[in-house]
Amino acid sequence: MKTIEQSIELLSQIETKRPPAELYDKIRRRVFYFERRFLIQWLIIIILGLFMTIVIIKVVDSNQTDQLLETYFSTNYNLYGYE
Amino acid sequence: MLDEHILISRVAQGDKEALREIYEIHAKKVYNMIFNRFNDQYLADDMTQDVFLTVYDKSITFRGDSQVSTWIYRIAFNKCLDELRRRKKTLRYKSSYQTLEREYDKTLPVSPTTILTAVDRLKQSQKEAFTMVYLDKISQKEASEILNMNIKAFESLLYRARISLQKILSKTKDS
Repeated sequence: MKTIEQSIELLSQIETKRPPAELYDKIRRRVFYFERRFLIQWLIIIILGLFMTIVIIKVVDSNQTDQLLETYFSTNYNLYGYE
Repeated sequence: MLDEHILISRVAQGDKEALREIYEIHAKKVYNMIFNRFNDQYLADDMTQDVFLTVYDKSITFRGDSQVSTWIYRIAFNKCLDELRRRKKTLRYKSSYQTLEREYDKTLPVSPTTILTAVDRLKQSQKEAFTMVYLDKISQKEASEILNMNIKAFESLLYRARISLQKILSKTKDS
């Protein structure tokens, strides 16, 4: 068992490495990009949500006036660009 | 230890200064844990960044059941396993310790490279246990938690690793 004890003792002499000094700055930058990406994702979700809400309101509105959706949009928004 | 729990809850609230403190405490061990497995400084840099980004991202899910250090080392260990899986290879030690090789005590019966080659021939589970305790210098209790084992089973695994290593080294010496 002496060899193994000596081997382990030898392994303990392996010098531990220090991470480079600028490593935390890289992490800080990645955290910043990560947060920005997170915010942009939320912004997209909110915009899509608002858009869908407006579409649904319009659909409900068109149903109330007994108009087909296509008729509603074509009369209000000139979908086909004839004029 | 309680302070670290407070630090993590501050990180969960987006406190970068707390993240920096957590980094200062654990970066060296995380970096060496990765370096010991891949012997690649650039990979160790990248993966250490990944580990701390995960710490920042997942800090809100930290329940406080374990020590913060154990949680962080487990994240690092899982990233190492992912990388090993990606490379489709098992943990191998290259001759990464040339400095030690040059400086080791010549009166000893074995060289560091011989030992690391012998460690390399251990079973995967024994190798992991041995590496965590003797190369990464993680306490046996923490290492057992990282590997999801109870402490008695871990001690037994480590004991078997030492016995196997002893056998491999004696065979190496004989041949």
